[in-house]
Amino acid sequence: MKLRQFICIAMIFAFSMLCTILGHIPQAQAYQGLILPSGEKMAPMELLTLTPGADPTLNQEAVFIAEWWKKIGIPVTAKAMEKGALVKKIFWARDYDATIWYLGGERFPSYMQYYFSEAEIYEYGWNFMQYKNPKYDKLSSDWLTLLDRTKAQQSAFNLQKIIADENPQIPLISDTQLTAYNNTRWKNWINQYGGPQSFDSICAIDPVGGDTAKDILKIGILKEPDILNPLGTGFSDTWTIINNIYNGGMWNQPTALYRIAPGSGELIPFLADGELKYDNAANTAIVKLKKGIKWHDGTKLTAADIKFTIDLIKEFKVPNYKDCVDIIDKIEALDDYTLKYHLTKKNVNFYNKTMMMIILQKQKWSVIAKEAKAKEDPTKYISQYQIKNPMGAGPFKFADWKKGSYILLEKNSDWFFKDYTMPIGTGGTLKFDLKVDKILFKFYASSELRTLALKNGDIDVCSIPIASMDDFKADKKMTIVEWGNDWTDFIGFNCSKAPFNDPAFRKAVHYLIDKDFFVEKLQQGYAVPQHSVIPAVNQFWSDPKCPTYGAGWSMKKRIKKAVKILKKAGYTWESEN
Amino acid sequence: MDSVLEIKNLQMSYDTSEGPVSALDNVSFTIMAGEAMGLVGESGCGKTSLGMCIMKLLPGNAKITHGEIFFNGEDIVPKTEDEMRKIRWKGISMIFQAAMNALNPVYKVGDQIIEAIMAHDTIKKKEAKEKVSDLYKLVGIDPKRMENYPHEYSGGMRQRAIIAMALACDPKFIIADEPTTALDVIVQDEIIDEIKIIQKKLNMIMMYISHDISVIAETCDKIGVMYAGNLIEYANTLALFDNPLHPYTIALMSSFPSIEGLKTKLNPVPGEPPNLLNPPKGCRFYPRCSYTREICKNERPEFVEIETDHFLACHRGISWK
Amino acid sequence: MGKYIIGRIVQIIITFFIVISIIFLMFRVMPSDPSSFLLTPSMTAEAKQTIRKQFGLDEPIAVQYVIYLKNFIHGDFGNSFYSGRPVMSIIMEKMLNTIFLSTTAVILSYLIGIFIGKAIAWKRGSKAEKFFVILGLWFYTTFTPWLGIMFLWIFAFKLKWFPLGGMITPEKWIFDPSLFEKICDLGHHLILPLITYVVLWFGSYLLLMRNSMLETLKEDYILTARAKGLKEKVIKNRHAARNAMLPIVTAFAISISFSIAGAVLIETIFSWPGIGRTIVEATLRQDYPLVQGAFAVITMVVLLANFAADIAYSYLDPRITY
Ligand SMILES: Nc1ncnc2c1ncn2[C@@H]1O[C@H](COP(=O)(O)OP(=O)(O)O)[C@@H](O)[C@H]1O
Ligand code: SF4
Ligand SMILES: [Mg+2]
Repeated sequence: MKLRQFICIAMIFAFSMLCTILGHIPQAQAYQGLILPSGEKMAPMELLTLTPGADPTLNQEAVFIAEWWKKIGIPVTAKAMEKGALVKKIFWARDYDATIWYLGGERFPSYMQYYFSEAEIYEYGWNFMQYKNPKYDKLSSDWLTLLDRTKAQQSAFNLQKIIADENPQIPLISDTQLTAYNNTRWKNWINQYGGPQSFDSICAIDPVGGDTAKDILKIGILKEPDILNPLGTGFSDTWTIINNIYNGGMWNQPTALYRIAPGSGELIPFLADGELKYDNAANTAIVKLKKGIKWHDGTKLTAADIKFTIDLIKEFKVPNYKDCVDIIDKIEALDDYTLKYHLTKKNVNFYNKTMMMIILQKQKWSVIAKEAKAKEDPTKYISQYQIKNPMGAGPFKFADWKKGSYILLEKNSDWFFKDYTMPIGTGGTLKFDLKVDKILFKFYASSELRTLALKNGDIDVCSIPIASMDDFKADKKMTIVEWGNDWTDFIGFNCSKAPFNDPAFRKAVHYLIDKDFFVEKLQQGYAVPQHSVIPAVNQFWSDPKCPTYGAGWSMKKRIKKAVKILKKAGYTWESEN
Repeated sequence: MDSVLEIKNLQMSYDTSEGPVSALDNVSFTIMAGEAMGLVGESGCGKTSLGMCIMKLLPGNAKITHGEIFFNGEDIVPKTEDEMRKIRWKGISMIFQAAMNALNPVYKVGDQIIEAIMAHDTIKKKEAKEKVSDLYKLVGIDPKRMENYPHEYSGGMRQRAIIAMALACDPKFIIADEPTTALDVIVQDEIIDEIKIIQKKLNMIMMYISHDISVIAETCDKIGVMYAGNLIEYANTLALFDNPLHPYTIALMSSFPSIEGLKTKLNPVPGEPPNLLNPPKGCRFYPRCSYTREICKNERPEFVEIETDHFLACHRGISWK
Repeated sequence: MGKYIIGRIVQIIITFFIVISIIFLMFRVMPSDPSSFLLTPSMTAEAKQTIRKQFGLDEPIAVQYVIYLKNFIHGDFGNSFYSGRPVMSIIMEKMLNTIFLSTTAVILSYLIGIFIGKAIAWKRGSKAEKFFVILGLWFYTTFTPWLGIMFLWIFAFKLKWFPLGGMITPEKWIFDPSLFEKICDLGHHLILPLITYVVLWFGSYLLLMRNSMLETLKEDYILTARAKGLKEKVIKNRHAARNAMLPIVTAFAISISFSIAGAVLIETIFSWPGIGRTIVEATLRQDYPLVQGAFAVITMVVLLANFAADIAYSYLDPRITY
């Protein structure tokens, strides 16, 4: 180790020691030594969070919250941990009092059910808060069977209200994504769910100044996908690429049989022809397929492909898609363009997942499936299968992948939906004029370099850090698009032990959190305070009327309120006696 | 007889951070063809410096400030490195001390000698090799050992190889700077005999440097005595032993029973030699001399031929005359 | 010599096994669960179990260790958690890129450092010497990311002489250029990271070589060589530099190891798809098999480099015999 590195580390070490020491000097405060209703003094606790390196915002949030909570005599310190260690502590060992965590990423927020369900309290189940509420469990299971959208929405609001009142977790903020694009290259970007780099947007943009034939859309991404197998354990970056090849995907769900309109939660037919016909009595559904949709190799995409995909995933128990197929008892291809689904139970996952899932080409995948069956672990084999030349029915064909440098996709001129006008739920429409001739995904190792590349004209679009905002605002060639993230940070409580097993206590500490402060001070305004478990950007499902726990209040008022709640619930303070 | 080496009023100093070190001053002498000259003096008196002046192998901080060195009638002081390179080893060569790392540890000994030959004579490698083989026989080593590395030689053998190397280019003049100091006594004697025989056989002139007057007495025709950078007395070996004139030489001789006798340490006079950074203004031996006079303190004694072939730098000696 | 080599090979194998065992333990003892990164939000309990099983994470540690060693012996480093690709193929692919950049850089800095170090030691006390010593010290202590980012900013972003990171220009390669154009493009991308690397590395070689050379120049055999009337160039190269090189050979083996550490920074700054970056990314993702494999390969490289250095040393210095 070089000397200067040593000095650096030593200085950081000394500094953190100093901070620790200073942090332990007790400050004169009105409320000290919180005593629980049981008569015991509250034991020191830790508020877990991620390291600043892993996520500076989450880390800072914990530090501030701990300061605020101390004001009413809660002996709390913020403790940063590596992600893996934190997961182990909260999901596996359940050995914590309170932690910062995040959730979201699903357009249909089914996590409302499993995140708070008693059935998920088992080791590494999702309900790490160990929130138990039989009434909630009943309501949330019912919710999943409500096929009527208005009723389902109302039910989801009720669920959110319960969580907001009971506070097994406290939503904090959801950061605003910033994407910048070079406005001298492409125009007419669509800013809807998923941002300017979404599937819809790419299919709709137009080149500035014509000459389409040569125009390449260049997108800078930070994580190179390592596999282009849609069944594999791919990450969301990979999906950004795969979505354009296949007509469907797990997470972003842009194109499949149906699409979900963000504003209304409605199903919009995509590959499907017309509305889904559900037979309530028989618990079956008929889906018609548009005629004339072709795979990249020119063969027809038919009902047989869809049936094949569902059967394959069922047979091989592909983990990523279990939700989509578990509820299907049987699927029949009545003819080339008609499918009949037999469901095991009523479950909205059929609408929100099965209808959105990937479709694989029977011809190609039956060969792979055959190989897989001969292997020791067929599930592993098929989900890790190295697809050299991924093929779908999407707007772009896979062209080239130079490992470490780029992935190239080429326009599929025969794409069924070329020049198709797509309704987008909020009443508007969108035209897939497909002017992009090639998409070039370029890989960068750091967001700094990628930002420079965007300014330099090496790429056309990418996400940018808040720190670069001013620089980009001043640049006439750059347009910045802000869009809501469908993830939110929250504090999760261990509801199985004191003091966080007391809803009054959880409510009191909720009042002590100034979310607007986080938005302004940690995110320079590029964030939205969240009051519901479901981020507000998910317009249809998120309840806009969730209690805000003192939005706009001063800290003094917050403390007063929290103390009032605690006193009422039987809490006292050492400093009072 | 012709003089092969003639040094006139040589003066040399080293630049150091504390000031100039006057390492050589007022040095003049001549060596005739076929003669062996011995240079004696205590450690630090400038013997090596004198040898290096003659080779012009001085370190960067050394400077010849005055005087001439005639080799074969040509003054080498003004000569450039390029010109000197031709003179080195072919004209003047040197026998180094074996204990010093005089041989490069990573090359075969034979090759290091061949390298010297080929740097000066345009001959084929094979011929050079034969020549080295002859030299090995001359100094008494099995020519097969040419293929070995220095660390595979014994001390005595290494010294013989170094002698062979010094002879490689048939030099006219050889400087042997304490060639036997680090060897054990028996080997020392063998080597000294060897050198003496070879010198006579090849009829070279030689300057044999030693702090041990007994060794010099055995080997050389003439003896030069140095003290603190000065050559103080220079005469034929017998003349010097019969009739030493300089008080320092006298002290040297009195502590030395006979030519054949026991070797003694060369510190016959009480006191320390002067610091050459700031030598005494007059005679440099003045602080230790028991014959000192008023004049000695302020005036430097000239180096003069006081008798035929007997040179001396001492006020007392001169006034005697 | 033969006996020595066999002994050393046995030693290397033992060291290697100790190191890979430590690597194995290191990752299991870490207070986090690797599978946490594989699991996606909407996964059912059963699906989570399936994934854990797929990667052998539900076995006891001892069993995992035996499987791990068995696979290692068969040259099977397992599959990456992240991509499912065989680790060996990922490493080989990335290693080539790293060798292309780092090894070229180390060799180049080595040669430049030695050449200048040799020259300035010979011209001791000259202005050139002072200049290069200060320059060498300055570069030696320069903060790598700072220099890399400065270079990118000035030469790639402002002056646009060089590309902004990466190994190739995708825009060119997608149109299937000729081999010559490909080589030129690679070269163009190589220059900036290479210069950064060389600038950062040659300083240490330069100072090392200078010191070693100054020590050597004090040796008596240098005086002998001068006395023999050899040409200056011969003395400098054949006698002085040859001996001064000896301690640097060992330094070279060590720096091959360090070059991989250096690769982490340089590759991240310049978006170079090499092994250094892969290790960082794999560590962040807790991709055990990949990190293990990469460490194992690096360990092997380091051990072999040291072995090669020892052998080379014994050839260069006849005093060393085994
Ligand atoms: N490179 C040098 N720099 C400064 N002084 C030196 C150097 N070499 C020798 N001297 C000084 O010059 C004097 C004569 O040294 P030297 O010729 O080696 O004596 P000798 O060979 O008689 O022992 C000594 O005082 C010594 O300290
Ligand atoms: S000159 Fe004077 S001091 Fe010097 S040696 Fe002769 S007598 Fe002694
Ligand atoms: Mg000496």
